[in-house]
Amino acid sequence: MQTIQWSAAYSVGDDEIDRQHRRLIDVINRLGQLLSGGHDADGATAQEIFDLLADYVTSHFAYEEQRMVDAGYPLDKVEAHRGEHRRILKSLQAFEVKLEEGNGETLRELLPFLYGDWLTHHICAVDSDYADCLAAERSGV
Amino acid sequence: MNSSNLRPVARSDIQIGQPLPFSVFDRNGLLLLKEGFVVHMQRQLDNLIANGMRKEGVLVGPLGAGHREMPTQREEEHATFEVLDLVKLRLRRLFDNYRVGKRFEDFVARVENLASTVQEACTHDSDSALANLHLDYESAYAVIHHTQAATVCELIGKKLGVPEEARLQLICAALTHDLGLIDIQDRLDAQEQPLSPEQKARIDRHPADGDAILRALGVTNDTWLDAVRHHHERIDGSGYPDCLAGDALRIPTRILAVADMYSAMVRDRPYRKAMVSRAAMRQLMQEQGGRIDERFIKLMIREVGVFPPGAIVKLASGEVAVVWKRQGNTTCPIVQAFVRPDGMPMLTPRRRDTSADGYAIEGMLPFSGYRGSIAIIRSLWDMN
Repeated sequence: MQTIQWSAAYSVGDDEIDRQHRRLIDVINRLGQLLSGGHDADGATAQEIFDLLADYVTSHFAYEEQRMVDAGYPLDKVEAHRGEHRRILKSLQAFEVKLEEGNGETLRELLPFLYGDWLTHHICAVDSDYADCLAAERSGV
Repeated sequence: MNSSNLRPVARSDIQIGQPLPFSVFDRNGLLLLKEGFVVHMQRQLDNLIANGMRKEGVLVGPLGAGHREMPTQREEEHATFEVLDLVKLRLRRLFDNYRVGKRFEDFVARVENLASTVQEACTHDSDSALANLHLDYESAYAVIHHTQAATVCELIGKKLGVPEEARLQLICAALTHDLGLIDIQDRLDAQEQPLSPEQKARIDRHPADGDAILRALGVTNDTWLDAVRHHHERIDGSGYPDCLAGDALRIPTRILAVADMYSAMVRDRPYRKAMVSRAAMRQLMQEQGGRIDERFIKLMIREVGVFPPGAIVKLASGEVAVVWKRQGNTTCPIVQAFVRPDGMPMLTPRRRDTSADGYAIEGMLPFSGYRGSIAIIRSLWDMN
């Protein structure tokens, strides 16, 4: 199973947010590992995944949004970013509900979502947009 | 948005009890109500027709039916939560404009429109309206405080049978009751040092200042002006600025006094933690007994609830939950658990009835301990 590696290109210029993003990559790698046996994950495995994601969401979203506000990132963009977070959270919740309703395939669909929609789109494209703002704040510009 | 793309809403476009076929904006392009919102009150409908604008080119009704599906009614709790966000945004603009000295031609109409939106929101789903304000730790204090006072005034006023027209003026008063302090209110909220003599003087003067400012802005309604001028009077004559006592204090003014105190007490401040609402209400009862009308305090506790929507509570199960809906017995609301007994957050909150065995509320918790869960908590009211 191929794993994703953190790259400096993902950095948004804030050590704590970078650390949190690295944790998301760990979660995705862990999910890939759990599913690598070729059979559907059991309930305990699913629970572990959603626990990791819940822990990630609660430690990351509010922190990142607050950092953006503090760094003077335009408020309409912060609001748009918050909307992205809401969208991601809604999708994760929908996955969890589907899984609880007995759809064991759901975890397989979760992996492409985490990798494509969240990691590639959100972190690489959306989050990197505020990197300049955080960098400017850090250098005192 | 470019306001030149907007045109007035026609009476035939929208109907009471039907989902709005398009989003309605004000003349400056600021969103008033989203497509799909169901208007229940005639006054709100009249307001939208008098002031509302819609985007050009959005086809609706019989002509547009072939091109575009009619929106479905949005769930009331979601719609109401969003409407409160819009009310806060509009109030913030109003205060900002006032602070920079903008000349208002239409101040009274703007506040009345906001008041009727608050009334509409409370008619829809007062649980969501209260929860929105309880869970907002981002908006400026001035904005939350005035909106919260307005919501509580509407709930108590309605319960007391105050006629709709007088309630509307009471809500207008609640939305503007600290206008005499508005230029320094956010600074006072953040200040940790004791008040300076100048600040103290401003506070003593603010009800009379507010009265004068509102008159200058064109307010003539007696209920509105009286409530603003006298919201710090107390029935034993110990209040200010005019030391009114007993029957000289009118019912709407007494309601605003109670709502104002409640809202100030449940707010986190830099120099002290918010008293969680149960303690806040008990304090209102104990310390203010004899100074404000006890009947209204009791009524407020019955109406807002011992555990108001948006409050964070600990359950007998060990879970932490947010209050979702009040029930007939306000000590046993429906809640949504978002932290498990082992302290781990849940991705998807779980509905719990606190009147059921094992889920009784054991006490309230400060929101500040659960800031990270705000996205998950807010997702409960998120439509999209």
